[in-house]
Amino acid sequence: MTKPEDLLNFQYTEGSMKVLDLLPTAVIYIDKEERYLFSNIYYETRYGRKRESTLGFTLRDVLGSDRYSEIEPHVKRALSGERVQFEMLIPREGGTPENCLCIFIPDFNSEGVVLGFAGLAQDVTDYRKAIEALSFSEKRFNSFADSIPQIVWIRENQGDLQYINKAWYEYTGIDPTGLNTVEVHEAIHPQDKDRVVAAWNKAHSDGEPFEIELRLQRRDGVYRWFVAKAFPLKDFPAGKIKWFGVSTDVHKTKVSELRALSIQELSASLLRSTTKEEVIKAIIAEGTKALGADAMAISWKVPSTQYLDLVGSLGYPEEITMRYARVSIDDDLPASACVREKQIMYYSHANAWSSDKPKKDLTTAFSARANIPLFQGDEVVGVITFSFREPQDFDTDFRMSVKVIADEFNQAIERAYLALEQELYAKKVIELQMITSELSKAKTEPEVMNVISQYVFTAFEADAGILSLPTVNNEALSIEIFKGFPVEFPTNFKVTSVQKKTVAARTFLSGTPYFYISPEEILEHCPDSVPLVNTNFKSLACLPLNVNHGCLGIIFFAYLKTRPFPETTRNLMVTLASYSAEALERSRLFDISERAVKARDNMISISAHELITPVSGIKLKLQVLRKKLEKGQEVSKEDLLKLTIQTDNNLNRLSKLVNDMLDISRINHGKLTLQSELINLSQVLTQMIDGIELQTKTAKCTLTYSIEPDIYIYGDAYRFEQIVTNLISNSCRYASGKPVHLSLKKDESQVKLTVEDQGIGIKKEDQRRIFERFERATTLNENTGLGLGLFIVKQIVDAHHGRISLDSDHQKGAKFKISLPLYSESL
Amino acid sequence: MNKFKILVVEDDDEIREVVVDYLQMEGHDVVGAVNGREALEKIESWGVPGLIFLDLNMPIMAGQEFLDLIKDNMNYVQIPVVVMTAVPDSKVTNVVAVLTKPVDIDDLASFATKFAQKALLETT
Repeated sequence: MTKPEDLLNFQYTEGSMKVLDLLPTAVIYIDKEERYLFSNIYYETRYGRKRESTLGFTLRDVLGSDRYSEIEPHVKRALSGERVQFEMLIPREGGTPENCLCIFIPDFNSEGVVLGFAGLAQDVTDYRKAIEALSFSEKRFNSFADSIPQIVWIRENQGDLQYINKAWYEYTGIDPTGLNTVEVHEAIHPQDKDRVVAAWNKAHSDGEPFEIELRLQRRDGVYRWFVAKAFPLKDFPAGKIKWFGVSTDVHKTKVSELRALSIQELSASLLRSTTKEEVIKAIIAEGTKALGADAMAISWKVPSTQYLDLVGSLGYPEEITMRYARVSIDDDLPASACVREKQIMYYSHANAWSSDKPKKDLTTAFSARANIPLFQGDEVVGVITFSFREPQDFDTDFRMSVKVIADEFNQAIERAYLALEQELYAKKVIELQMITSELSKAKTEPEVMNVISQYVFTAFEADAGILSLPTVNNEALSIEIFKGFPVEFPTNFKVTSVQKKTVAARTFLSGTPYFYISPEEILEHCPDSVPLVNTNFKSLACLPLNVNHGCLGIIFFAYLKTRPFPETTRNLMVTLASYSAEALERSRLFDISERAVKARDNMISISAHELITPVSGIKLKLQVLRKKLEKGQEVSKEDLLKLTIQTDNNLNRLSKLVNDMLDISRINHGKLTLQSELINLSQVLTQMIDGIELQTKTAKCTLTYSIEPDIYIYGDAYRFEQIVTNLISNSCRYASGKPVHLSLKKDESQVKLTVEDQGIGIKKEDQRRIFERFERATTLNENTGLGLGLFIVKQIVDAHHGRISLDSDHQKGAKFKISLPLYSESL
Repeated sequence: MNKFKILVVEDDDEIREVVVDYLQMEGHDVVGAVNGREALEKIESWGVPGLIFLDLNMPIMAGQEFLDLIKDNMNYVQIPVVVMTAVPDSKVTNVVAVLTKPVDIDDLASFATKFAQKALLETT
């Protein structure tokens, strides 16, 4: 047992004692007998225990049993060699107890035996208060931070995350407990990760706040745009910077901004695109960016089939584009459904369109999709598919953008089609100009028909064409030329009555064009056109060949496939038909004028012959007579008489010819004027009989006649003499040696003048022609005459409002009948 | 001595008769024919003439047709032909002359004399 006086000599130097006395901490030394060997001044004064009352006394003695029992376990542990630290309330001298941090440090000798322990007590009341305050503030911060929708976080240096609020978990679904930075980065969009890391590194080295836009993946896989802001907090021990960060969801604004920009670019590209191919290229180049899609495809409907053909794509692996290069509208695919439904279809995730059965497409990396139908008029002609790797919200904003893009695209396509149509129209116009020029070059009707068959029928890509012309009296239509029809059709239906309800008849009778797009439409309006429909024609354009005086016929274009006839095409068809009609009309006029020219040339030749022949005869005879007289040869009186008679006859012949020619000339110039008055036609004819008998006698014809007396007409007596003379001389010429009969009679309203012979007659086919100018029933050389006689007769009859007809047959004589209006008092 | 044979082919009776008469008066052996066909018959029955006066515009067989036939025939191709026509036609070839009606009787007579002398020279 150590004596107290020894204890006072506790092996501390004075210096070290002084140091201990200066400390603002209570320090004591307790030996293994639990006796105080040392206490410093702070202990003495702070807790009111003078050294005299402590040194050499045990803890139990100094503190009293109650307080000792409080610290006894700590004491025992310290004396067993353990460092002990605890907090306890220690009453101050004359004051309130203070919260002290107590530390017992065991004291060992060189053998490791515990000699005692040093006890230290430090007032930690202020510290505790500070800790409590901090804890309260932290709690308040947490509850505040958790209540806001922003993601709030704290991290130290580049180290681990120290704090992240509830919003994080709610958004990402990732448990924040034990999170490190790397794991947090997992939520960042792969495309944004590098950028974010780079920004962090820069912020750290600069120690400056930073702000960055990035996409974070929501718990359901959707990425949304955030703005992350971080501030460095520097009030920490040197080298430590805490970063306080807030990430705010700006998806809506950001996406609208991005979209607005991209859509602007897309619109500009679409505006620049003039062809369908360019439009498709533009939407593929800009479309995915505009909608934030990962891939897109455009499929086009193959006209009049159920197929959709892929015409362009971006971002799909080749196996996908190969597999869906052609799909059917009936397939169970989003694109097919879109065409069927004729509306934009949204699928926010893969299961949205394939809930009931597994889809082959699910094997791909794509999840959400939007399918946009492309329209031409009311018809869906294609579909755009946008695919997204991640599920999508497709919010109102997105759908608005899709609508805008769909509209812009459809408009661009429409513009492209319009441009194409205009281009095709221009080409068509040039082609039609070529055809028109061919038509104008064609002189004769066969030439015109040839151009129509060769060019016009094919001008509008028709599969078949027909040109029909009316038969005599416009009673029926007859197929004149055709192309592209099975041979039996034009054979079986060559001539069809205009009374039938056919496309051709309808067009011909109305003189207006008709366009039928479907067989149903054809049959509805033209039930008799069944054969056309049965020949598998679906669409028809039937055009009248109109000229200013009527409809010459019809031309029609037939199509094996349904074909719409746009306004421009209709107009071009009508134009071409009218050019064809004009060409046809011109060729006919050309034919008429050709014939007229030929007839006139003939006439000149005949006139020359007819006029020269009598002159030649007289001239030769006179020359011979002159020679005889010059040579003093005898010329008999009979010869002279014969010569004078012949000369007289020839001169009469010449005069008659010249008069005929003058009449023709007058008729040609519309100057056949009548000196009309009331005449007794019976009397006129009777007076002529002597002359006529002389005429028939010369031709060795026997004349018989019956003239009803006192038949009056209003007309020109001289012209009637001409009629009778011409008809009689016609009979004399063609019925030489046969009887000729002249008759004049009347009924209640008509006067009938008839000249009938039993000569060679006139063939049926020639009967219409003989009343025309310079025409003769027989060939040129068989009979003399200008061929003007009957023409003149007809002109005179016409001028008297009468009619002339012919009743004749070859070798059976001819009967010319003239009927004239009878003069009546009432007129 | 044989007379020079002349054939006159003309449908107009007056002209044919006056020409035949006059050439006979001039001392030639002359026959007439009213058209080409009769002319061919005459050549075969009467003999090959040394000269033919030919009208073009005739019924049955016109002058041109007759001309084509004799020019195709080896035996007749050498016969000189003088055409008389009211309407001269440039298509008429292989003839000695084309006279336009009304013709002069002197012209006809001089053609007859010329070819008769020529024939006489050739036979002697």
